[in-house]
Amino acid sequence: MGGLVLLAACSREPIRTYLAPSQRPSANPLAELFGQPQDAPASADQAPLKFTSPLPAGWTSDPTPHPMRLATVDIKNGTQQAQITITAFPGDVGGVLANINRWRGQMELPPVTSQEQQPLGKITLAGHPALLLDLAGAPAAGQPARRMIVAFGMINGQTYFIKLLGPDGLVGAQKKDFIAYVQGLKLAEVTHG
Amino acid sequence: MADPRNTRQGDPLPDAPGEEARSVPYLVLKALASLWLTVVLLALCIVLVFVGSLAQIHMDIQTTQKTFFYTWLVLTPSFPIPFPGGFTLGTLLLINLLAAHVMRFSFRPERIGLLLTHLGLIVLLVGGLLTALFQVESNLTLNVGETRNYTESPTEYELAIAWPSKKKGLDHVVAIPQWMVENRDPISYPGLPFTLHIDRWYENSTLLGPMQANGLKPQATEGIGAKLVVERELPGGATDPTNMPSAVVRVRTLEGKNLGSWLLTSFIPSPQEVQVDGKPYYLTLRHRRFYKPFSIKLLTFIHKQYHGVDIPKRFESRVQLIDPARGIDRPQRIYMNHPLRYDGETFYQASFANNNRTSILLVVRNPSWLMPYIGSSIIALGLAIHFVISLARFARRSRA
Repeated sequence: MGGLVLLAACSREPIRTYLAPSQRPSANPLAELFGQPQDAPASADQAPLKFTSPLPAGWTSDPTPHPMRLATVDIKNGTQQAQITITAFPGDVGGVLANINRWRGQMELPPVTSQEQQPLGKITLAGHPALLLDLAGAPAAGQPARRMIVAFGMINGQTYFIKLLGPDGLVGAQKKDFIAYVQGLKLAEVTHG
Repeated sequence: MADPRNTRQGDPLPDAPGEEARSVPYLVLKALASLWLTVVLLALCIVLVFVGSLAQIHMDIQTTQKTFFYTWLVLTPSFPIPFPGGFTLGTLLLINLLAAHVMRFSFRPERIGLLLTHLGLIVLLVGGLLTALFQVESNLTLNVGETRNYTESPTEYELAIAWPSKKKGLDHVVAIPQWMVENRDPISYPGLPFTLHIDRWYENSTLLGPMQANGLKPQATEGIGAKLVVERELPGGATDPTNMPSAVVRVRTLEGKNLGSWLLTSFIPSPQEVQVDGKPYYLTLRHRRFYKPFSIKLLTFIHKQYHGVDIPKRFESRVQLIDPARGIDRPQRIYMNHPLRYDGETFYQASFANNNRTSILLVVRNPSWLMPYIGSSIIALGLAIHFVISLARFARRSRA
């Protein structure tokens, strides 16, 4: 009995070999990160978040595939242009504070030391609570001031980012439509492999 | 446990000085049979259970079990000094009980109830120890319509190397256990034309894309990992015990040629292809798999809630059990308190996900699963007999 106990306590699992049904690489391994069907392209129509209503006037879906991006929407008004990008990543991607400071850095704003120092709104993303960040950058020489609005939240272990970036005036004018668009997104009817 | 009465009026220990009483084995046996030892061990058990319960504030249940109960010695900041673990205390209690019986055993019919009760305790203690040593728990996660012939460990991972076999649709698989990957020694296997060098191992990790990486360079040079940065995360805690490990693995041919490094991560369950000498090999870091000689297909999953609230009323998996070797192909229901028992394993309905399209079954293989039932039955029988004997004795005395 004692020997049996010691044997069980001290033994470590060895290397195992066997024959098993073949499993081949996914055509789009990034899709697995995003919870998409394995062979689905990362296009707007087949992303885990899907569109449920037509895009507002002046918005156009960009079909060009971009690495690491689920969908892209272009917004034009005269000569001004803004863009909405949708990305998703497993986990919390460094946490809220790290992401806030990353975005603040992109807008050339100083970092904050705590999440509480950055005003954040609340929004619903596919039925899940999410946060809304609105950052206005300082005007640069010869360039209009930029503005960034980001809705982000975690769904099924993945953090989704929907980011609107462009000239301050255009982004401000589109904010209401952007919020309605974010709230209209729904989880796609996909089966996780 | 030892009967306290035995030390006072039962069968007195032969304490009288003599050759037998002074011999070393006798003294050791006497010490092991001591009622004081029983009391001390039970007190230590109380302390262990108390501290182990408090530890679950910061630890998940499985880490707590391993740290405090399924161990011989507890080495944790919770105790300033090494403390006996569950294995030690359970084994000492068992020895104490057996020694007490050896020292004091004398069969009398009126004591059969107590003897049976102690026998039941021994069965429970041995059963607990065997369960701790040999029970294997895994998960079977099935989407509706999906068939699987393997279950997966929820906590352990393995590095799988696969390559096509001569049998169509089947691969040769070499599964390297997690502890070998953690050791970071070069991994080779007879027949494989390369060795794997574990450049980095992350027990728990997070992935960053190019936008999140803030200038950090991907650690891998090949495959999907060449676009991703992996960062270390603290191991899972009480609220989220799931670790998502990753490894950066360098592939080197037996001739010493470096083929590059791949990021193998539990975030990407799909294998990644490595070409060596013109042949494809597939690498995956995945949950440790336990293959079965039978398959289970999820036919439907039913999830009902109480009216007006989100509280689950009932969830049930309807599965098809397929075992060609035994000619079995039958439907089966698995729901609360109605597990499927098959081939030495028990399949419990544990959870669900993915908008009720995924069912998660807890699969338990416990060779000693009957022992608690047997031990409890013997204890109940012993107590019943002892009660009847005592009642009869009381009635006789009352009549007298």
